[in-house]
Order: sequence, then structure tokens, then C-alpha cells
Amino acid sequence: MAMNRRNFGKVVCGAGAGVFLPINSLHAETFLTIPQAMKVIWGDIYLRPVTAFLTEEQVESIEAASDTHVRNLELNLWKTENNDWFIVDQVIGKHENIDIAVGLDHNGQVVGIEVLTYRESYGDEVRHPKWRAQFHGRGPEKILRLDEDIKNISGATLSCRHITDGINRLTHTWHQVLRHL
Amino acid sequence: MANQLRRCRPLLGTYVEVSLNADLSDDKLLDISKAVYQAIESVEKCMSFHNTSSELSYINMNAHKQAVRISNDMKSVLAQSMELSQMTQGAFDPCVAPTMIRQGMLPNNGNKLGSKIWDKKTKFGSWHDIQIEDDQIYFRRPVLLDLGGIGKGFAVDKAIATLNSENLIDVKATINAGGDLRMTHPVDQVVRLRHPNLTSSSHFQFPMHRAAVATSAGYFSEFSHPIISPTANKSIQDSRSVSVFASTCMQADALTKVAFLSRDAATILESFDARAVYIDCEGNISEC
Repeated sequence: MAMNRRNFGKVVCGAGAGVFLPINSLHAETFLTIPQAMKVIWGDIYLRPVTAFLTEEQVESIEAASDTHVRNLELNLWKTENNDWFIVDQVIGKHENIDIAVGLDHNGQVVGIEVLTYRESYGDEVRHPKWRAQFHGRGPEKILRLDEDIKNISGATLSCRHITDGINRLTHTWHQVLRHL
Repeated sequence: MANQLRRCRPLLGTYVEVSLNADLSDDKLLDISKAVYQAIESVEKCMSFHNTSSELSYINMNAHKQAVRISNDMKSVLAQSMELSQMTQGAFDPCVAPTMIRQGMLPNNGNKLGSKIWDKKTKFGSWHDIQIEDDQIYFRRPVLLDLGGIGKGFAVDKAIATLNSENLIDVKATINAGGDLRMTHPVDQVVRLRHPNLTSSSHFQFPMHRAAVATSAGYFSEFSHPIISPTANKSIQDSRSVSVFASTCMQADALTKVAFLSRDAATILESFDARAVYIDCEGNISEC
């Protein structure tokens, strides 16, 4: 419905210059669940859960090759009969903490990336090691979910370069570890 | 029974969220979201400056040597861009890529391709040097176009258009590409605009009385402000954020630049039936 300029002005101003919403300094948004992400990336192909832990040597090797930091020694993996992979991982940026699902095919090529949960904080907490520590070593069943669910945010463009770093780390993890499993 | 799907993927250099609400099955909503993302991907493939195989990169490399045929999508975005360049007398100018490369905001793809098309001495042109006739583009001298902002808005519009068919008319969708947001059913909906002082962790709620909104600001940029002044050939300095409400996302995004850069911003926005909301670091709001 088209609204003429005068009405629009009244409505926007009448909103009292917006409604100021001070919120908790941590906000999160949830998207696909893990089963939904599996379906999107690998359809109905059977995915077998695989347990794997990185050794110190592997961590060093992956960090050197990808120029990233490995935070979790435990890998959340599923494998197809064709040696393709479904991985749930976390990417931590300066103010963002993101759970992602990644599909890698049997050649280590990325076939899909989905953001499962996006959390951000601009409070002081983000600088404290203890706050960061709560995200270490979390498996999918322990992924932090928050009640705060603020949608429809229009802000300046946030770069997703941390995802790119995370993907880089995972493809090196495939190269050094997964393709031998 | 209303069903919902929310999906988020990294695309266009940012996070692209798709929210769908409809009386449809999970599988059907997933299929719809796939079509939405395909539309976004097609625009990324066409207009990415980072991708040396994109249509944009081909144009940047070749249009000063000979006329280049352009796709319909490219034509739509360039037409909007040229219109705004004319209206703002160059305050809006997509030919700011050389400055962005110099400031480290865009890659120097000329180097990557081993091309000697341009070097440090090359004088790059502006919007005046762009000629578009029918479906061909020609540059009178080397020009480097960046369509990062306006292209993002266009991608959202194209994605929304995938829901235009009659059988999807009741699907309520919101697409948000890094803050460039458009809704199929904006009436009675709200949007939240970030406080430019991020550590306040707060948002301002506004009604969504246009279908689209886009926001420009410097608070996520680590170094220079993302908006380049074409006249000063460097980033502006402005601690405010501006959000523009317009009927399409492409217009909303392009007009955020106009809102910062043009003295005639209020008049130009009015001609597009658009509104701007400026928020400063103390949370003071002004509108035009």
C-alpha cells in the first residue's frame, strides 16, 4: 500500500523517534536446525556420526597451514558412504560467535555452508576469557541457545570474513585428518 | 497451519538471511528458500568485484577497449546508478573502486590477472565516461566500477521477485542481506536499527512503512568509512548511521549514499518517495 510522504512522516515521528530498546548485551538468532542443514546440504543421503579428536600435532599443522586458531579439539562429524562430510563447527570473531554447518565432498571441496546460530555481543563481556570459554568444546547438543530473538535488524554491512577463515581451517582439517578417517 | 523457516548463508560478503512464513510444509519452504538463494547467487556471480570471472570484472577490464554486451540484471543496476549520478551531479558515483583499492577495501584484481591494463599512472574516469546504449556499455577511458552496495540491494529485490508467482502470494518473506532488508508484507511490521555506538548494544525500533530499508554507517569498518566521496577521492568521516526506507532495496541502498553525500538529499529522496533516518552516536534521531 503506497503511503504519501506526509502520512509517513507523521507515523515515523509519532513513534517517538523510535522505541529505544536497551537489551542484554548478548543477542542471538537461530536458523536451520542440524537435521535441516543436513537435508539442505546432503538431501536424504544417510550420514553416519563419526567421533574424532585432534592431536596436538594435527592442531599445530592445521594452524600453520590455514593461519587460523584451532579452538576445539573435538570435531562434530558425519560421513556419507561416499566419504563426503557434514561438519558442525564454530567460528569466533571479534564480536560474533557463530555455529555453522559445512558440507565437504570426498575431494575436500565445499558444497554448502549454513549458519545455524548467530550470536553477537558488544558489551565488555566479549573481552573476558571466561565468556569466551563457555563456547569451547561444545558439541551440537550443548550449543548455547538464548531466548533473546531479535529479528529484522538493519545495520551497516557486517563482513562474513570470519566464516571464510573458518572454512579455510576446515578444508585444511579435511586435508590433514578427515580424508584419512 | 502457519509454518516458519529461517535460513542464513554467507553470500555477497555478508550474512544473507531468509525468513519465510506460510501455511506450507517444511520441504516446500526449503524449496522456496533454495530459489531465493539461487537468485542471490546469480547476482553475486554477475556483480562481484572480488570474482575475476564476474561480468563486472569483464566490463572493468574491457569496456574501455571495446563496447561490451551487458546482461539485463547489469543493465538494471547501471541504469539506476546513472540516474542517481545525474540527479546528484556525481555525488553518487559507482566509479570509486580505484580509491577503495588504494584504501585496501577492494582487491587489486588488475595485479591478479597479470594485466597491464592499468598501473599507478592510470587516470581512472568517473560516471561521465560511461556510455550505455541498448545492451552495450563502453568507457571513454579506463573506469573501475564497484556495485557492492547497489548490487546487494538489487540481489534482495531479485530474490523477493522469486515469490511473485500466484501460488506463493501468501508466503510472508523477509530477506536481509547484511542490513539491506525487504519484506513481501511490510504492513504492521517493524525493523530495528542499530545504535551507531555499538557498545550500547541497543536498537531503535521503527515501523516498516516501505517494503525495503538499507543502512550505511562506519561502525563495522575497521579502518576507513565504507562510503567514498567521489569528489574528495577518499572515505568520508561521519559517525552517524543513515537508514533509508524505499520501495525497492536497490533504491534504499543507493539512496543511503545520496543521504550522506548529496546536499540535495531531501529532494532526491522525496522524488523516490523514500525517507531517511539519521542516528548519531548519542542516539539522537533526525529524518528527511
